[in-house]
Amino acid sequence: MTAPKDIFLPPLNREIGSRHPINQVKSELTNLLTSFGFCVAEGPEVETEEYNFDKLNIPATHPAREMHDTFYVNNKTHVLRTHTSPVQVRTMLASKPPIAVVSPGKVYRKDDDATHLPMFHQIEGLYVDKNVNFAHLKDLIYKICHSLFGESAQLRFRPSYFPFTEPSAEVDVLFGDKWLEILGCGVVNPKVLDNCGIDSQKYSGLAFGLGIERIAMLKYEVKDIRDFYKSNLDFLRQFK
Amino acid sequence: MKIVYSHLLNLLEQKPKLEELSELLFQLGHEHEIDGEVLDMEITPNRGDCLSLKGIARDLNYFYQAKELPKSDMTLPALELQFDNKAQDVCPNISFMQIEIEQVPTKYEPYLEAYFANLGINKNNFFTDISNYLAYESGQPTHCFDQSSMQGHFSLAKKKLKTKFKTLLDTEIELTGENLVFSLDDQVISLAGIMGGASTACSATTTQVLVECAYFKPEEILGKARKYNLSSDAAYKFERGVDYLCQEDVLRRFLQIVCDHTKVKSVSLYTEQSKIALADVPYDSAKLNAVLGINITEKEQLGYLSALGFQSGKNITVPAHRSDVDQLNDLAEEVTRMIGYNNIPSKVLALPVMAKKQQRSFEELVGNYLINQGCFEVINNPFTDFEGKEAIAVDNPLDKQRAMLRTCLMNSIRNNVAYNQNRQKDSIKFFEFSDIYKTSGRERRFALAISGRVNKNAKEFNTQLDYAYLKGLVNSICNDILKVQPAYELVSKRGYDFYESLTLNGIEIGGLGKISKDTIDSKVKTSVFACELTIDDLKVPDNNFVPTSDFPASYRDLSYSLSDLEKVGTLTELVNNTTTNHDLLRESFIFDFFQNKKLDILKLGFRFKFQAADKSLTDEEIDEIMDKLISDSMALDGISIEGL
Repeated sequence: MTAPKDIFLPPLNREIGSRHPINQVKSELTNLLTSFGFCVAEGPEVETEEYNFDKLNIPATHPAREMHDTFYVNNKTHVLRTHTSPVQVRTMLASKPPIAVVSPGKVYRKDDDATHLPMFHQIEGLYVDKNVNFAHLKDLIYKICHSLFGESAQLRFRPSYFPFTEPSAEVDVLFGDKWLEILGCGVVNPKVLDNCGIDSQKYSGLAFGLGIERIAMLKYEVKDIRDFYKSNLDFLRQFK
Repeated sequence: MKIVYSHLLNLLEQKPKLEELSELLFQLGHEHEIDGEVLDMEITPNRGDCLSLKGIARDLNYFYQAKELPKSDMTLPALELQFDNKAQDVCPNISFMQIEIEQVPTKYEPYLEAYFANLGINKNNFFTDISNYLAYESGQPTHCFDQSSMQGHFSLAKKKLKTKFKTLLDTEIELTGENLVFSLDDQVISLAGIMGGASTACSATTTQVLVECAYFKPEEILGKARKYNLSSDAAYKFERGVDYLCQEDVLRRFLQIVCDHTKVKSVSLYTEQSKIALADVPYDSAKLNAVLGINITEKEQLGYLSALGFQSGKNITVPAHRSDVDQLNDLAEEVTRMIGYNNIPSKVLALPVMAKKQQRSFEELVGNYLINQGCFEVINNPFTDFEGKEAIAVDNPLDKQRAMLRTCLMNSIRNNVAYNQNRQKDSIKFFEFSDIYKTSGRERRFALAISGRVNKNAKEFNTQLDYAYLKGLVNSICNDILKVQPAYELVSKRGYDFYESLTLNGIEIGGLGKISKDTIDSKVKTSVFACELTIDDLKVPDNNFVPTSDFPASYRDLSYSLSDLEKVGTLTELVNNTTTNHDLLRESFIFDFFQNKKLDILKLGFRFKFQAADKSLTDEEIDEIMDKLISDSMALDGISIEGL
């Protein structure tokens, strides 16, 4: 059989582009968490100290509120949010339990080196209802980590400290022979519920937060966090 | 904080192996790294009580039984000290011990020697060495004044200052603003809770010392060491909270260590204590179980708490070193730490199903479309040095170049293009979605920039991305995703060689144009075309199904000659309006465009698709619409149809 000449014509390849790798991971996490029943909530990045700190039980004397940790704007009337937790505050103030929200977005801290950036992304989750407890939190965290890293992923829960949760925990996942910190979580501090107009005698909650860059660095084995934000086409092309 | 394994064992009745101890420390929340015998601990900021051997041993008490180190039980006469505490609100508890020794020892006991040897710390002088060791052992900072230099009115007060101060490390700093200081008359001799001064510091020959031991409220100390760029272990401890009742006990331990080394000639004690009452936390065993989702007995709970120094009664009394505990959830955390977070069984969590309306997202649809066109998404940080009228200033920027928040995406995405042009990338298509913040409020923006070759293939490699390409992308977004016909108007805009505003449904939402080359930090001359839109109010309409027609479609083509390029827009508008106004005219588009500037030829070909839902169309029906379109277009200036 004689080959038709068409097959020898140079093909008209057209490159497809891609979402930014951080937004890809953000979408994957958001899709995962919404599949568990969470709704997505978003909020402003320029926040009041009241929502970013006070209502979250972070007192005026907390080191996080110092000028070297937090960006203040507009003659110190506002801050660039240091976490996405103010979205949870806004959600609690605006609705009644049961509440199940995740808040993905940009956050800001006054850092700039190979492992820290002044802007990065978090996704945080909040569930408030009657009789929510630490054992439920563990179940949720296992589900999240097993979905992200496989059913056989080994987890380690360690006590930690966040003013807005009590008890608080950090969760490590075993990669090879090394435990790597993946997320922070805890039972919502009753003071935070009360600050947000939710009766802590009646309701309790759980909360968790993940750094999206951290997950992306693990997933794609990117060593320098700054690579994500150089907008280098050679870098971006690898995430199609 | 670094501690030495063998030093910690001295405070424990049982002697666990290092690996076992390490595992338990992780369980208790004390993350650390091990280097030989040294544990480099990362203590969480709420656990100031654990910044010492004693604190860690106290936390391990349930497992290995902590033991007290000996302290002097000597009967201590009252020290006649003329001390004026004008800062009781921030220093409610303070004690002083005056000690005179016969002679300065020439060598240290093994436990004191080991502190310096194992941790590689330099010795200073006898009393200061004890003070440093005691901070490591007990967590309570003390400060040693050379008694011989303590002449004058001795006071503690918050003072507004602007004066030089020489620290005991011989560094000179300038005190400014309000500071809590110890003074002799008007001379500052110590920055309270942070660092003592050179003028009253002990030396190798000091035999008479006044040891100060105080509780300073954390908020008074917070940030001061950083303000003066001082590295202060004392400040670190006070900032995180120390035991507010331990002062006399710590001084007695100080005395014991002195006595272990040399003969004491005289000793006396001065104490001021106004913060005494221990805090109570309401306790309910069932509620504590409910926080954790477990079911253990009250006896078990109290067993854990008691081992940590909490006293049970009607309520739980919190020991003075645990300023972080003031509610039931805090007690629950203590119980959890003792049990081990890993040992709390998980319970299935089923979130209530809440009704959610799935809405088609503009950003998702536009993003997917652009990705299919070969565009890459970028994310930029919002910091800039551009001081626009509406820009929000960052009060404490990282540097001058990042002192403002951007008020548009264009500058960032233009820089992204330049970065890649300068790295020999010859086909650049970027887009970004982001909020921007201005003094007037928040806006959601979308930006798109293109430059270089259309694609890397035999037909498109030699074709450059141009304004028509960009406008085509924008038109498709408006027509196909938003189902709205965009309107453009040429306007002048800074930073662009030319720029058209874009209006949707009567509202201007941004525009697009060719970026002026002199605004792009690139040596490459390739043109850059870009668009930026405010997208807050853009809603993607639901797709409403319209039954398709099984009747045949008919096509008509029209080839126009135009006198100049400006007529393209006029003619296109007429064709679009005609298409919108006639149900039978289902579709129209430009299928041919030819321009030969030398021969002054400009041609534009339109194709029209006619189709009815319920019948086959007759030529008469089609011609009626076409005739009207032809006569309307022929009425336009500079437009003709060959053969007519």
